Amino acid sequence: MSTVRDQVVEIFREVLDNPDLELGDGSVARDVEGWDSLAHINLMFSVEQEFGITFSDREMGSMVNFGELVRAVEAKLG
Amino acid sequence: MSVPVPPHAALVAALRDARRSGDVTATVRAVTAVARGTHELAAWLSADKALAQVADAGWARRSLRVAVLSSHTGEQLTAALRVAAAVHGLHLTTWTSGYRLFEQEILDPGSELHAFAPEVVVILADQRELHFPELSTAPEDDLAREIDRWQHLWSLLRERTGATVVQATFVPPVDDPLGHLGLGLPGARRRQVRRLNLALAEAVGDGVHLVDAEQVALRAGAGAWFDARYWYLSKNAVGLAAVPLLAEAVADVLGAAVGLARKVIAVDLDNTLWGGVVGEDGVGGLALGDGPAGEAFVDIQRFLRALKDRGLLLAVVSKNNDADARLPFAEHPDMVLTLDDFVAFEATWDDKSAVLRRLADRLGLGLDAFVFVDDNPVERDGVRHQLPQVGVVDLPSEATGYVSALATFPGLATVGLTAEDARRTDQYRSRGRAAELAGAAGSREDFLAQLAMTARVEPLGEANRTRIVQLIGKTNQFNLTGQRPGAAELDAFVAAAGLVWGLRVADRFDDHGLVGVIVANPAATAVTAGGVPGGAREGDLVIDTWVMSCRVLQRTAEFALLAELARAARDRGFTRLVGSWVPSGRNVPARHVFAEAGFSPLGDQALPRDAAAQSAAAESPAPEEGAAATTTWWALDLASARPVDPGFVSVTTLQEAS
Repeated sequence: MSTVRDQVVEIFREVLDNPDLELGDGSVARDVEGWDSLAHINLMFSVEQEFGITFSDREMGSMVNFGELVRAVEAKLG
Repeated sequence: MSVPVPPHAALVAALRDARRSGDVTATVRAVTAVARGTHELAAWLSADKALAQVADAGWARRSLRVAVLSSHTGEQLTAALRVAAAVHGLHLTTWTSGYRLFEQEILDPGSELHAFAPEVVVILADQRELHFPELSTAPEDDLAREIDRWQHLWSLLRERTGATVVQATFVPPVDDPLGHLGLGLPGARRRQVRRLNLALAEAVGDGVHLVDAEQVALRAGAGAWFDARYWYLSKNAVGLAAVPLLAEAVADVLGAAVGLARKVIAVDLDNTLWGGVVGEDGVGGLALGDGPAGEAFVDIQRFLRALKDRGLLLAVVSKNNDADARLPFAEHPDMVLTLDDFVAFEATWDDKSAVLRRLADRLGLGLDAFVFVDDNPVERDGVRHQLPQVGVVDLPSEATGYVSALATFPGLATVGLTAEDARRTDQYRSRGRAAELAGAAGSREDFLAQLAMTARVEPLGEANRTRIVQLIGKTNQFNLTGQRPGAAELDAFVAAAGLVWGLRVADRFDDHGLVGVIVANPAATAVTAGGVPGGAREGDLVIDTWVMSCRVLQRTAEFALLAELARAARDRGFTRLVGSWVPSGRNVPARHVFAEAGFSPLGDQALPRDAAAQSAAAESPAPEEGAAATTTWWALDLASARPVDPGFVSVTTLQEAS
């Protein structure tokens, strides 16, 4: 078992190809190397796949930081 | 909150360890393990990055330059293709076409595609690209036109690049307004798409191969293939969950097209071709023919025989007494395969790797031509370690899954391709089709002219305000200044005699919608006027913001818009039109637009027009990232000059009174 947060971090590490990546609640795209629009699509999709969840169309466009993303996943699982 | 660790985590961890070790063989093996062990896109992207890190392509059986022409968002597919190709021992150097540019890349001999000099061109065009109405009144004409279109593109590619062409067929959408009528109703889109696939399959000539995308879509499932959310969000025409599967299919055809397909299937007997162990259970005790397991073993034999009929060689590699091993072939009534179906029958107690080596020598084939099928994981591991060149099929624990495991094994799906090609080549030549196509026109100018493009300038208004703000906000490539005014600022510009225009573009096939925005202000209110070299003058109209969607790049609509703006500026009494290009690192595609439109450089930092045009040509296909670039300024004297417009787009302007 692992935590949602750890697993989302793990997805970011895979997709952004940075095994040492650390993310905080306030991390946003422009602070994280490689987190561009294409990577964002890959990240959102991978998170959905891994947790078997679906973000709403609104969430897809509006999630701005890492903490928000983790809370959204937890809310859907919870 | 705590959740289970996903199944592919171990594969990704192994990949990470291999990369850290710096061992090329271990890394490539870990990449292959990911590709064979999971279809999770994140893991595949990770594997792709690992491959990119391996600088030396010495691990590969073959290196290939592959251009991927995708009608829509293609980056994920290209990444997945590099991973899927590694399974075949192929190292790919890739180039991916821009969004919706694939057709122009083929038609324009000066395009990046041609400069890339591909050995293989992969065409992944979505069915949305087909010019079929939901219900055609002239189905035969529509169909003939599409067949000609794709054959023409193939023939241009073959003539100009010599590349092998691999094209995915078209998958009719699952949500069909005609429902089940779409199958049979003449002119129904679904029927037309299927007819086109069949017609293309018959039309492929020398060096052209099809990937049956409908088969891939079935395997992926409609939900994964037609993922509407990511279509609307990011224009991924193939759902991201299906991308690794499509990449596998393309890689299979690619591998076969360059001669890397497998040729021999070496099969075990006990619990592989029949249930039970013949030496212990006797012929009468085997599971074969009756009951679920027995029927599954019959089907695996049928499948193998079909592969054999298609040109693969079968060989038996079994640990058995030779006499026992032959008994079922002689006595069991439900055996499908016969001894004659096998080129070799090795029933011994020797190590299986040694037997495979012996077989390869005897048949005069490399070990990489072999696929090994065995229910025993210990035997599989032994072969995998001793003979890494041999393809090892991981049979599932139950016989009911054997056929699927074989059918999806890389390198088996397209055997016989080369022989088939030779035959098709003759038919192709005899029909004289090649000569006919070679004569057809194919310049970029012809293409643009045939598009019959029209454009409409729309001043900012209630109906288009949201779209205009959105387009300004999200456009990066063709974005001249990086100025991104919001709705309130735009309204203020208009109130102060500024021009805020949207541009709608349509062609004979599609209405592209509002795809361009230009904001030009009098010198007094222009945001960027302070930067004009020599100072802005009264009578200047300054282009503060100019964006064009990548949907219409290379369609020359930008020049039509500029010409229309110059006309409007002159009508309003302006004497000079001024614009700038501010490098953002991502807007290189817009760099030369003013030079090409005949504007003169302002200040000493700008390149003269001819030099700019030359450097534009020289930069292709690897445009500089604008790292060393500085802002350039441009002006057109409205009294003496008009912008250069090639004239492919006819523009009308909507009156501002609306």
